[in-house]
Amino acid sequence: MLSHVNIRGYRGLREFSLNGLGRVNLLVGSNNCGKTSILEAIQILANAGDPWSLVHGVVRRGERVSDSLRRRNRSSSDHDLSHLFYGHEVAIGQEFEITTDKAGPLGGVIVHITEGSQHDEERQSSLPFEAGNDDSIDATAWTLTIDWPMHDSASFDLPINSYGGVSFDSLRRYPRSRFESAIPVQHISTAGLSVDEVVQMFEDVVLTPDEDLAVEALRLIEPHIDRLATVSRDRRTSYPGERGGVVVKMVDSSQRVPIGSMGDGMWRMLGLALALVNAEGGILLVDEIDTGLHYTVMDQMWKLLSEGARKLSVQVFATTHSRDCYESLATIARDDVSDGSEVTIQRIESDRTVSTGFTEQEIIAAAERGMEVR
Amino acid sequence: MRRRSHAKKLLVEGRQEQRVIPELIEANGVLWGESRNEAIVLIDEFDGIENLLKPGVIEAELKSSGVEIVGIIVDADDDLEKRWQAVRNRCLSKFPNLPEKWDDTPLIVTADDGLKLGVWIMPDNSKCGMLETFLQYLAPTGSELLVEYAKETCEEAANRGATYTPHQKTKAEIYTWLSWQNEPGRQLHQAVKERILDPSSSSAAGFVEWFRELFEL
Repeated sequence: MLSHVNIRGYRGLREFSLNGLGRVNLLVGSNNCGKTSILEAIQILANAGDPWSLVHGVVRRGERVSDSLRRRNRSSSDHDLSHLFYGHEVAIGQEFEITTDKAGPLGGVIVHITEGSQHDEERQSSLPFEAGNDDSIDATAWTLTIDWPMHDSASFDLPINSYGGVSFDSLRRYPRSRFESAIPVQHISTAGLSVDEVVQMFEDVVLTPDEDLAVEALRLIEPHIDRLATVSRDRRTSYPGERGGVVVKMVDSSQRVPIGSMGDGMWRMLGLALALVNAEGGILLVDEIDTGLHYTVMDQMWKLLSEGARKLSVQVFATTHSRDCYESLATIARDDVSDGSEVTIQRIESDRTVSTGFTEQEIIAAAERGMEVR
Repeated sequence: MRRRSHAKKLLVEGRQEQRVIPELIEANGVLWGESRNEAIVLIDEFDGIENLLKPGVIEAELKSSGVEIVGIIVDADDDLEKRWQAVRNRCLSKFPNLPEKWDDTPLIVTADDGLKLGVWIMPDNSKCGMLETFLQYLAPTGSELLVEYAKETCEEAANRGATYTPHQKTKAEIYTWLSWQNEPGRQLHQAVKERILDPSSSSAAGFVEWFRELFEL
């Protein structure tokens, strides 16, 4: 479990630390203070610098190279990595770093921009890829280098062009299967999980004891659920925000109901439970964890999450804007019998370099007195 | 009990303090504000010292979003030093350099990030007692004999079956004295407002001064 995370130069976070972290950490703070960036930074670290995890946030935020820039440079680079760096500028020497209190690969990762690899014969790559002559990278190419200084491993290079662009084709040459995460990490963005992700994760646990957790989670909303199953679906028509691939059977009925018929909260809960079990031994990141959940469900959601996290050794980082959400955290804070804080709230403020952390006693006091912690 | 964040907060033991202090301050020339939302300082009461001193409570108040100045008023009761220790322990996480011993003067300190903390121990930071002890000092000049008589009466009442506890003696004394005023039986905050107790008394000056300096009024 990480006790301390320090982020330097990543997106809008020039310098920011979170200390005194626990098993379940709820990040609060005003819009645009960097909560999502912190989740992304932790994911990048946990994925041991896998370039795909660098790009995830870029794709989700729609950070694409402008058409005019692409035409002018006659390149097909389409993802713009410049926004990963504080100040949105790509230049040689620019870097961002994420460090923690741990040793080994989880100890830290540093991502920096150096001269293009074709100019540097001695540069080693931990993987036998050749940057080669990539048509999609123009002549003034630079290199995005990913280093993990506390891990005895060579750094990894990704060619980018001088305005921070990297092409999808170029990325595709580094298949995901080649990267071994430092630890398992699951990230649920505000938009939630896709049908494919949910189906995949359910099928990974079906007929194992972990499947029960998923059903238990849904029973928090609908106590009469008997069983779940995945069903094949028509892949030709799929669109963002779709719900599907899973059917539900109730105790007193023989009918199968598509999960989408049961409201968004169900989808979110299922996604939460599945992501939790798939993050066993690692980290679960959930953006806007209260989305789709009524306050009456929130207490039990936290209970399920915190018990599951303890049993499966998962460290959870979630964000929220909702008062109901952080106040209901007091429920598990009260029940926590172990020493030290299993549960913390971390307030992120853009004009500070350290989060304001609330211990369990303080969370309980704040909930009881209706204090404003965000 | 939902509250928007307030930059200036005063944490007190109970309802009496919550009602008396605005009257005392306003009587000394500082407009308090018409409603709770407009109040220059938001006063939160905790229904008893144990609730105020519960671990996590003051710490959370000091970390509350938007807060800039926090004042704490507690009764010395029977052991001033002990009371200070208890308050100090709750403030240490945010103010690690608080003095171990209380030096009989009201406290005002500022943390590195600008958060200001003030502590006043009733009645006057140097002796045992409570809010009501402090208010006894506000009896107007000329009423000394009556105050003395109220004390004697309470003493005698104890011999004749009065049920107030020794800890509550000062409360009995001041309510006895108030029962003999014009209007009889006014509540503490009303007595301040109506000048039955004298808010401009020199005994109140120290408190008002501390309050104004802490909350920058």
